[in-house]
Formats: sequence, structure tokens, C-alpha cells
Amino acid sequence: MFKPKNDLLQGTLALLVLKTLARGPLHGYGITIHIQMVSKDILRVEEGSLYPALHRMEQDGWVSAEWGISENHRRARYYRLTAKGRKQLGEEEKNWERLTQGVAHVLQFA
Amino acid sequence: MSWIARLRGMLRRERLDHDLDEELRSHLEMRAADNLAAGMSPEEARYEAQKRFGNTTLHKEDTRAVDILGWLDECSRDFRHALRMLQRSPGFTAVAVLTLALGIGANTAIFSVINSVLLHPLPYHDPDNLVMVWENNSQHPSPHNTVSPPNFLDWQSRNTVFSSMAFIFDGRDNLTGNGDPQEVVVQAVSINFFSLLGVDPLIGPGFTPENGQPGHANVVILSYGLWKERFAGDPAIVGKSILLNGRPQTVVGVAPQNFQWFIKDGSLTGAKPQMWSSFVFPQSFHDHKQIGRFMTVVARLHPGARHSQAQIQMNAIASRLEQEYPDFDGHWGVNVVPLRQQISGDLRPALLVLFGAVAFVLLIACANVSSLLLARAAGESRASC
Repeated sequence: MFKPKNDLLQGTLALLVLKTLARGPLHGYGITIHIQMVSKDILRVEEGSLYPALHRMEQDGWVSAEWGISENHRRARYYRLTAKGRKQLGEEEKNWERLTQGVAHVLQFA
Repeated sequence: MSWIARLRGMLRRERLDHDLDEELRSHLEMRAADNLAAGMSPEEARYEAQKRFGNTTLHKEDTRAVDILGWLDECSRDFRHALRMLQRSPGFTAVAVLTLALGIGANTAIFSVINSVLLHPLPYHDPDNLVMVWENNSQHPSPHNTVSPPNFLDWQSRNTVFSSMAFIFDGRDNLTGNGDPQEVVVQAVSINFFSLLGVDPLIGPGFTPENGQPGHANVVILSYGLWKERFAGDPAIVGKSILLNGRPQTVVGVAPQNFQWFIKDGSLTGAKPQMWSSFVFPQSFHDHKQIGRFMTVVARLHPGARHSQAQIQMNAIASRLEQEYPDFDGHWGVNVVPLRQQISGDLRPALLVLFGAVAFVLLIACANVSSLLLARAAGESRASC
């Protein structure tokens, strides 16, 4: 099944965000920093489009959000993984594995 | 369920907008602070943060759109899934659809009847201010007793709560001239009958005050039906003469097509009128000892007066009359009934019972469909074991 490009990127973003939050609650900015750092600057989240994605994940019940105080005493909205989100993370990781395996096979078949 | 979250999201628009604003702003501030710490100047820091963030308004819109898009997505997915399931078992679908159709159909039918009988607009001006005024006697069974002319005249002169009162009594008369003799139902009415109801004739001048003078009172207004049947809908009939029981009457108008006046209580013929003739009281009608009770009375409340106030005043007038004319009016009272109640009163309880019944039918239909669904689900799970 061929997924349109947008879908693929959005799916990946969800995977990255869920994995990031598995370590503990973070606010939106923190998520972008984390992904950028851990991916050694290879992945830069398009910051603005993070929020629609976070909102969708919140609607779907994968994350829960509440207001808190950040490190430098600012009001920020913290996102935390829910049990449903944890399960979804497992699914997404499996799918990603399969996808990369599939792509690898095709590339190896020269 | 996420659709609940979405619905809640859409309903708490303002607060969520405000929150979202704050969240995006704090993101920008945090990046700006980091930039500042990295050595940029304050303006640079903020500029870079904004540039990196992108179009804030666009992102806000996209975030808000998630609610609706998500909802639509979910809805269409559920809908398609349901359609597929239904297509797989046509027999079940047919039974379920039929059951629901019967339940819904019955309800719709009964409600249409209720709508047209209990709720429909009456063909009179401001019908909620119209009341029927009856006499009643504790010793007689009927609460809607016909009225005697002298009482009507006293009511008319003594009340302050009605802007006008009119009387009606019906009978069968022989209509001759312009064709075969025909028996028609005629309502004899006071001159102000049509103007009280606020109804203008379709054609013709109708009853005018001079028709209230003796000698000018032999005028009639035809019903639309009779006009079409017997007079071929010819507008030239206005001004012509017809014979009612051998006596010449001048046709002064035709009633509108949707106009009707039929109150079963107090009707001598029990039939809908085909003609209205003006009636002027002879002198003998003023005598309390001479004339019996045979008229029905309709009255229009003064704007602002209420039916209950009218009842109270008429009670007072009635007891005065009782004292003044103990033989004729002893034990007689007055009963003021809103017109709507008079017309649909009989049917009301029956229709409400019917409505309750079909509501139950719908309930049963829903229960049936639910059990069908349950049975199917149980059957399926067993099969897949």
C-alpha cells in the first residue's frame, strides 16, 4: 500500500514524539530539543507542525497534557505518555521495523 | 472515546484558543532564551526563534483543524465499516431496517395527525384570544349548554372583558332558485360574526353594519364549497338573490376556501355549514321569559385580558342575572372555554394516548433491533470459537 508522503512523515513524527515521551513528561519545546540532540541534529522537527500532531495525539488518548512550570520558571504545557500511548508506541516501533526491513530488502536486491 | 474529546474541544473553543496561544508563545520564548544564552542579541534571538517556528497563525489553525478533521475521519471510517457489516448480512439488515421503519413511520404518522389537529393554525385572526361562552347548569349534565338570547344581550352589555361577542345557531333550510331545490345547512349568525373572527370574504362586501337594521337583514354569505358546487364558482353571484325557505336573500359574499366554523356542541344539525345568514334579534328575544336556550356564542377577549379573568367576570355577571331573573336564570352559570380547547378537546386525550402508544411501539422496535444485534454478536462469537 502506497501511503502519501505527508502520512509517512506524520507517522514518523508520532513515533519520535511517543518515544521521546517514554522517558518522562516534556513540553513541546523540550520534545524538539530532545529529538534534535539525540538524532545528532539529523532530525529537526518542523516546530510549528509539532503542535497539531501533539493535539491529535491528545485527542486520540495517546498522551495527556497539563500545565506546569518549566526549568526557568515559565508556564509550559507538559505532555505525558498514557498507557494507550505506550501500547501505540509498541505498535509504531514494530511497524517501523517492518518498513525499514522492507526497504532494506528492496535496496539489497540489486 | 476520542470523539468525545473532539466534541469537548470544539465546544470549549475560547479557552482552548487561549491555552494554545500561551503554549506556542512559551515555546517561542524558550527558544529565544536559549538563543540569548547562546550569545545572540535579543532581537536576533527572537527573530531566529520565530523564523524557525514558522507561521504561528497557520500552525494555530492547523491545530484547531485537527478536531474537525479527526472527527470527520473517524465518522467516515465508522460509517464505511458499518455499511460493510450491513452488506454482509442482508437478511438481518432487512429485518432491522423494516422494524425501525415501522416504528418511525407510525410515530411520524401519528405526529402528523396531532400536528394538524391539535397544533394547526385556525383560520381566524388571533385565534388564541377567541373563546366560546356557554351557559351551564349544575343540574344539567352538559358543561357546554346553549345560550338564550336575552342572556346573550345582558352579557354583551355588562361585560368589560370581551371586545366583541357573536352568536351562531344552525338549521337546515331549503335552497331554491338557480337550480334544483337543495337542502343546505345554514348558520344564522350575528352581523359581527365574520369581523369578530377577523375573516374577510373571498369576494363581495360581506356583512356590513347596515345589515343589522331590520329590513336590510336578508343577506347571506356562501361557503366556498357551495359556491363552487351550486353556483359554479361564478363571481357574478354576489349581489344576486337566492330563495331560502321561499324567502329571498341577497348574496353578499363568499367565504375563503379555508374558512370553516363547526362546533359540535350546540349544533342542531351536527353538520358543517354551507351558508351563513345574518340574523337580527326580533324584539321578543329581549324578554327573559319568552325565549329558550339555543344559541352558541363566540367572543374575542380584549388584548391583554386572559381567559381566567373572563371566567371570573362572567361568573359575577351570571350570579347577578340569577338574582334578577330567578325563574329563568336560577342555578345557571357561565362557562368560558378557549376556542382551541373547544375544538380539539374531545380528540386531545385520544390523540395523546395514541401518541403514547406509538412511542412505545418505537421503543419496542428499538428493543427488537437491539436484541437482534445481541443475538447476532453472540452467534458470531460462538462460531469463531
